[in-house]
Amino acid sequence: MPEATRPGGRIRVIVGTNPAAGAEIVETVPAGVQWRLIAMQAGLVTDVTVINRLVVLVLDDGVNIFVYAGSSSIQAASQLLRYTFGAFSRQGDVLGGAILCGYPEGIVLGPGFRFSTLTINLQAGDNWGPSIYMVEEWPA
Amino acid sequence: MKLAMRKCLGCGGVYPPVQRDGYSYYHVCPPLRDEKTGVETLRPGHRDENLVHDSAGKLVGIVAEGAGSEPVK
Repeated sequence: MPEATRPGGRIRVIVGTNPAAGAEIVETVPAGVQWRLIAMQAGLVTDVTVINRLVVLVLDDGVNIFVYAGSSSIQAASQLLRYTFGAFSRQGDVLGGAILCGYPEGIVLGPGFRFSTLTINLQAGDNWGPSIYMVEEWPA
Repeated sequence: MKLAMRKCLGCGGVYPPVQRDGYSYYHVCPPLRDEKTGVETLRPGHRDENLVHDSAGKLVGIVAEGAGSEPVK
């Protein structure tokens, strides 16, 4: 049976770190557990610098990146956009300040694996809010 | 219920050390990433709150204390 469909996983909603301005979101799977990332949402407030930002969700094992999942829309200056990443089959347009971004389904992350934002043209005054994410969790 | 928050003195991030479901949250500072090369380095004061156990399974501390953390009032 594939790892991602093992029974008995605990469904959890976790509030992650609210990074300082200019820093990316980086969440690390803790020791002793495995996570299947079901969905993750976070808001990005951009400062007044006129340049287009593009948000990518990156999955890695702590070193090696194995998923880049990018937004299909750019974010301009002085905007708040709320990004939701999940195993969606479609990419959403910006609607009401919210945008859906898809990534491959069924990926299980082991201890020390990370998921993070990689924001092209992130400015020092741009500010990510805390990520809130839903995972299915098993003992590692 | 409002979550009690802490501020990491290494990266400035704010986080809840205990989640609504009662489970601990283990903050790890985001690394510094070189925009051109993509190379990551640990930031000064890097903190990693993942737990470390000895070979007998006894808790001996966290991975890296770094610059520490403080409660957010």
